[in-house]
Amino acid sequence: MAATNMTPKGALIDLTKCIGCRGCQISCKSWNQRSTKKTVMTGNFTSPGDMNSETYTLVKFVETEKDADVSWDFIKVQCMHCKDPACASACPVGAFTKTAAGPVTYEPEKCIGCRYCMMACPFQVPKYEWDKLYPIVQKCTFCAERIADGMEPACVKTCPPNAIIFGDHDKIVAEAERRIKEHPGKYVNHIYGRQEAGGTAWMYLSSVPFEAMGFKTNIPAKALPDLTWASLSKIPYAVGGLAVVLSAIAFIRNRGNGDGGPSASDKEKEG
Amino acid sequence: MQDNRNKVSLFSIGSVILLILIAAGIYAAVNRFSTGLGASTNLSDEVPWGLWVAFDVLCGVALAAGGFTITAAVYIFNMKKYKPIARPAILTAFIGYLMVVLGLIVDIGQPMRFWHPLVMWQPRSVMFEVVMCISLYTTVLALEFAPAFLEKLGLNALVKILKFFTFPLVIAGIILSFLHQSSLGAFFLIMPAKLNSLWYSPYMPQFFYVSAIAVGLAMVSFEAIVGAWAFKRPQETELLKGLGKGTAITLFVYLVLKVADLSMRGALPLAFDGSMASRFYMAEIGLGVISPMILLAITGVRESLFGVLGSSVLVIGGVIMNRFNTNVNRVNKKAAADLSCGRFFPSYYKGDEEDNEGTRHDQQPKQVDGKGIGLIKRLYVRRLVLLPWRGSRRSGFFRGGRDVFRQRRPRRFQIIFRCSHFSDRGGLPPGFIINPERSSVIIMVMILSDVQVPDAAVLPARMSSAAVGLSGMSSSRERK
Repeated sequence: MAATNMTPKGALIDLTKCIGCRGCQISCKSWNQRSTKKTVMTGNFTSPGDMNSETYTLVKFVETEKDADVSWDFIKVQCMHCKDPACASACPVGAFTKTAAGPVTYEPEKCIGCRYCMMACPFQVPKYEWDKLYPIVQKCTFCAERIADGMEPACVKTCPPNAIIFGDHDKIVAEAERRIKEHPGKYVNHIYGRQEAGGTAWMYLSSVPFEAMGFKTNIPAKALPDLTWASLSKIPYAVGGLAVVLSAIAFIRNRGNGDGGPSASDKEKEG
Repeated sequence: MQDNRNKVSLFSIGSVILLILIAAGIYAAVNRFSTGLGASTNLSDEVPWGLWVAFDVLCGVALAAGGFTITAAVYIFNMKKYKPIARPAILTAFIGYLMVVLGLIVDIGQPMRFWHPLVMWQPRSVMFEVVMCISLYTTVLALEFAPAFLEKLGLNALVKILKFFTFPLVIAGIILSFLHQSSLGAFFLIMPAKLNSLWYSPYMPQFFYVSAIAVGLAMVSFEAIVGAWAFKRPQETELLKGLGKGTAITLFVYLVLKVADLSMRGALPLAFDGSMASRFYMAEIGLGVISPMILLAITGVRESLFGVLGSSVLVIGGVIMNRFNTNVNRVNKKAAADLSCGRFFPSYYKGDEEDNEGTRHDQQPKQVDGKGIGLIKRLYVRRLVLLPWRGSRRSGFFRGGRDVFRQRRPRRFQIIFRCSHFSDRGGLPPGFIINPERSSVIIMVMILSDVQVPDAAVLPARMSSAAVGLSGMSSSRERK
């Protein structure tokens, strides 16, 4: 970790370049020592159907219609590694950490398995070991240990057509903007992940509108933890205010009550 | 009162219903700990929170709100006439919260780590706040109820001390209730993209709090009526009238807030667009809020027992619907087609036809599959033993399966229960572990240290593990 550059890292997936080879999926399993799960035919090339506790990343095969023709697109999905992750703010034990280098890491030995992270994540990334008696959460690590050693994540390293580029976050954003600018008409003018959920480390470029490919486009452009913090940050005031108000009301309403022992008459009744 | 209580038979209709419910609950818990969370609840990655969170936690906490509303009325606002129902309300709230805690322990993936939030603070998490408040409030409720219990034991000195602290306790209880009742709504603030906009609102904490007051009052009325029937006591008609009035006023406030919020967000048309969500919404508001409000506004209804009972049931049903609609039914409905929009129906057995996602699972937990662990499977799965044993994959005789958890230090809960198997079969268990007191001490040690087992406990545990492992092998051979 000696001379590691700790500027926030980012990654860009150019969906126009993806050939759907699933090399990323395999290298991820290999690096992270993931097993497999039983799958069934779904009439779709996507396998398994969605990310799960053994599959941190996968390529989704999406068919859309474009100019009265079928457009077959391949979408690599994985944890987006938000700048201000909803999972990290939701976790009651702080098992998720947003590291300076970009990855959102997870400490399984803290996790109590409450699944609030799964509810909170706008991209539905954290997955649960439903087939275990005492399950924990699993999700993409952005190969945090590789990044710390100055390497790129396993999936980026594998990608044969260089559909994924990895580097400092601001440089990646600049590169994405350059591609959109230099190829007018090729891309949809939107970098998915630039604004979503307050910005994410992983971003997408596409030639097909993101909504048509099944991306969630209703995610607000602000950091989601702020939404709950708006409520939580008022707690100290609520406690103080309520304590004062309730004591005042209790004092006023109970004046001349004698001993003030509220259950004195209960006792008589009980007896 | 005492005499009346004795008259209630264990085999009256009410008790039998309750016993059946208890049996069903125990069955569900045993099922969860023997077949795994996924297989026993039908939850999946698309629907991570289901019945247990929606009913046990969201509804359970709301339905126990009678505790703080009545104590506030009696002690803070000095409404003396409600004093007779204060203790029952506190008791039911206390039992309700105990059930919430129990339900949570069954529902979370790592029951042995239930104490983690209390130690590993994470103040930005709503869940952390709720866990803290529920733990503290359960303690407060226990202390509020303790005088009634201690009086019976004749410990009057303690009673005096507790009574001295009545007001601080009551105020603490009200504040804690305010915090976590509203925070249950704040749970969902972080999911703007997942909730239907009929339910998602920045004011969800406030809605949850106000509806909790309404349902707390309704629940107290319901309990008072049913309790008086069961114990053949005279009905507290005068109190019920007041409670009904309070419920109606709270419901009115709630309705005004809801409608104002909907129209402010421009979501009012959604409620009338005839979609499934709008029908659920209309049912929830119409049956659970508007009709009981109108009913309870009529003096004649408030004075009639069935009127109050019926309206209370409507309010309770409305709040249950609201919590379910917020959590189970509507969540994920707006998710785009490709990225997991799940339907959820609790089911014990998963049909194969539902096995369309990689996230689905077999009924048998994978954990207990593997080579050479058939014996353990018999002991632990068939015999429905309740505590974790997974450390044995690494430490014991029964090595097998992959080490998914990357545990550095194995755990030894399983040792104790492996022994208990032999103790109840009349085998030859190591003495120090079948002693129930000692084994509970060991369990305590392990809970407190979670991963690090003190050396003193490790050595005998290891020895006994070896002994029991051997006897387990031999006994299985004998059976053949």
